[in-house]
Amino acid sequence: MKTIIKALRQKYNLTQEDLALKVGVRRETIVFIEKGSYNPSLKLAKKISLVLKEKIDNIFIFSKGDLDF
Amino acid sequence: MINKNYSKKFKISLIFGVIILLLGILLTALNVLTESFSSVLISVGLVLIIVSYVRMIKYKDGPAKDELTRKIADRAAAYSWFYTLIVLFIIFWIDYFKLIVLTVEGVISILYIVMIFTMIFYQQWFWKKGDV
Repeated sequence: MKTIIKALRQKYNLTQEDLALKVGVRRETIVFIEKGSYNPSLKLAKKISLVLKEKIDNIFIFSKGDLDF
Repeated sequence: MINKNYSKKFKISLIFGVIILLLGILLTALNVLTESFSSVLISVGLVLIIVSYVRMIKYKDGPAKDELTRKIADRAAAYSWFYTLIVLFIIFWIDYFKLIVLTVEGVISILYIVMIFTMIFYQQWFWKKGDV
């Protein structure tokens, strides 16, 4: 899974710390989400999408292999 | 979006630590408790004060726990439980075949060590990976 969180953060001039505080998680969690190593809960993904004013589908980009059943 | 007072929880445990510490000192001074029990109270109070103070400073602006830390802690606890079960199984057969003479204190000490170290090890391992 890839994300465009970093680009959106830069667009709104937010640091990882700022975003973490706004959505109520630790900075490390934002780091892992940005790296694509942690899949956040739907609730956290929604909070991030609200802060970054972008749809969840546009923020979290899944490749074909990520969604195999 | 979120505006919480993150240090409130640590302030409460800091106050709780001070109460335990003072209780330990007071009961020792009044000779109500045995020396070993009062030293346990004083030690617990001191540890609570130190840990709460450090965490209050470290996490004053943000949460100490979130969904990732909870997920990692839960999975590490599950792994730790499993390894403790294996160690218990081994201890049982060692005792059954009288390979080593084990005392109750010895078994409890082994279990303490296994539980604590496997928990710490898996927490660090998952934290390094970024997910479980």
